[in-house]
Amino acid sequence: MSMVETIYMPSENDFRGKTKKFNGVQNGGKISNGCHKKTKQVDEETEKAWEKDFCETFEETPMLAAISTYIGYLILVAVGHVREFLKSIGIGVVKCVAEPKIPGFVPLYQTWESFYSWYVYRRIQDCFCRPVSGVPGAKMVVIDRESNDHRWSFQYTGGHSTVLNFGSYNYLGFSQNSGPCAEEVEQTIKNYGVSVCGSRQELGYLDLHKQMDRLVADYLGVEDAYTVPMGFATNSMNIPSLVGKGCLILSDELNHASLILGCRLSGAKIKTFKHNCMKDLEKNLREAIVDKQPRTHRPWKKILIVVEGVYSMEGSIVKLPEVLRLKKKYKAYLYLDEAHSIGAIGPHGKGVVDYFGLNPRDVDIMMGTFTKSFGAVGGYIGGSQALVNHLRLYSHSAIYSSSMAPGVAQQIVSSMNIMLGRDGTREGEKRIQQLKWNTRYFRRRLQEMGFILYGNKDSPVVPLLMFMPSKIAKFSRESLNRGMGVVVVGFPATPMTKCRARFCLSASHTKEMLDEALQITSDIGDLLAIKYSKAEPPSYSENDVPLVEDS
Amino acid sequence: MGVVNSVKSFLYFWYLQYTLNTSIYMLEPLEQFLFNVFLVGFLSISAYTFYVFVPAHVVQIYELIFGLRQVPAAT
Repeated sequence: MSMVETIYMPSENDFRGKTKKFNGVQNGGKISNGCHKKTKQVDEETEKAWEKDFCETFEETPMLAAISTYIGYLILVAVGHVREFLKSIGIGVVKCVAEPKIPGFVPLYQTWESFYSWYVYRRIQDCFCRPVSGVPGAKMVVIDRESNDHRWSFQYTGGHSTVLNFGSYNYLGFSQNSGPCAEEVEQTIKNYGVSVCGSRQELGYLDLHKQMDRLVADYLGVEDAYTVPMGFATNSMNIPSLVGKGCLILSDELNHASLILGCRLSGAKIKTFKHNCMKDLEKNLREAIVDKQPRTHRPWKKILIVVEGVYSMEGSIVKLPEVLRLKKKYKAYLYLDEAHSIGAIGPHGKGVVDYFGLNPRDVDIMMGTFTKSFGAVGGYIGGSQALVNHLRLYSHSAIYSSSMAPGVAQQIVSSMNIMLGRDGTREGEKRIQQLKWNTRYFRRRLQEMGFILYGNKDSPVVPLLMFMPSKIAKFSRESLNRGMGVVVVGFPATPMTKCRARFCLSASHTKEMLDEALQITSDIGDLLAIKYSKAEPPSYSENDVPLVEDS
Repeated sequence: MGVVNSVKSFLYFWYLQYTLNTSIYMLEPLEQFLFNVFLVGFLSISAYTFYVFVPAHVVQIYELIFGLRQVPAAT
């Protein structure tokens, strides 16, 4: 029996004729004159057409792995408590902050977070926050360090290692210090200086920013756009100016911290719905409209649905056609955070709206960041002219924070011009197709090897599940020794029993680099016994992605 | 030599699996050693108890079920 819990995986029955479905009865047992049924079928078919190509898997945790994880955490917590007790009677060196026991004062360090960070996180701390130097492109330079006191502190050994970079968000490969973008940035810094020295509303709005805003709007296909110098602040500082008290926010349970912070700061009521579950979203919408505000039963002023394009911890893509259908039916607004999807998915690299072939004017607020795909920093919000006019006047970041540095703005302008093809070459198209090819190839090969991967077949973020904190530590150390740098994530960022390694693919990875990475991953996978998957081999491949050859 | 190497790598693989699955891999070497000593001690005491008491209990239960003796008085 298959242990796979798949969502919308196309099967043979989806392609057979729709008439003979229920016990051989024609038309499913419904009687009609045929006309209405035909148009309804056509509408349903076009509406559900996107489901045929939508392939997402979230395989179930194997029982033994789950039991081992729980036993492991039990042992770690027990040993931690023993060490705490020994510390209190004076045996053993524990280099955490010593707290004097002053009567009448509330203790500072009694919570689970401190305990976890001292006795679990600290033990594998060398796998996180590694110092790097130089450009984080397809390869990066990691500075070596060692620890003599069981990872309480680190010393530099003086050496550094060049490793394959599967940890940086570099989807289109614009993280370079040479090439047309870098030259234009250098020229811009010579013209404008390094900083703007002012906020947008106070002499910080250069012609370069105007050009950048116009370019972002053209790229997305919306009326106008507004840019912010920090990606996190784009969410946390702009959501409060869009919704307030008396509004309802329906946000996905796995939304990013910036979205959660922005929603909380706004003062609106927040309800979460199950990750990417459209039935739960519809149920919440219906309840919100029927029950209205909690005590007064007045209707909500606004209902805002907040989703992300690609969820970076799961690698899943939002079911946007379904969200748009619900939004239109129940007259809610949609806030789409395309931090990881802009530039990375879609046939023209224009994000999740492009991926499903929808109209960008349907999404009320399209937000994204430049950090991941464009090699810059900062974020944007695109939408109707009225929305952008309002944000330009009322957003916190327009009033209080310094405007985007000219060099960064030029990087965005240069990279977007390349992506739109306005520089006259096919470089943009080449990068998009290379990323797509890399994604499909890497995912297919890993799934064939037997690893459990989460997420959509087209998402360039590849989470590889390992379930136990000890295994992610070993994976991280072994892969660094063998020449590959990956990011591993454990408890606070993921559920406790679902620790994972996360590969971020890039258009600058060549097939040779991918093959080397796959070989390293396979060797470590055999050593650690993490090839848990019992699913069928993947049905997709990279052969239907045409690559643009160098002319 | 080849046999010794393959035995060594076999033992290393299984010891690694044991340390990874019980998260002992993350502990300091002294803690690992003490935990292993504790586990081996616990298992050996259990084995000794099993060896001493279980055969006698099994025989008692067998005779009780098959009625060769009345219910034994509490001793």
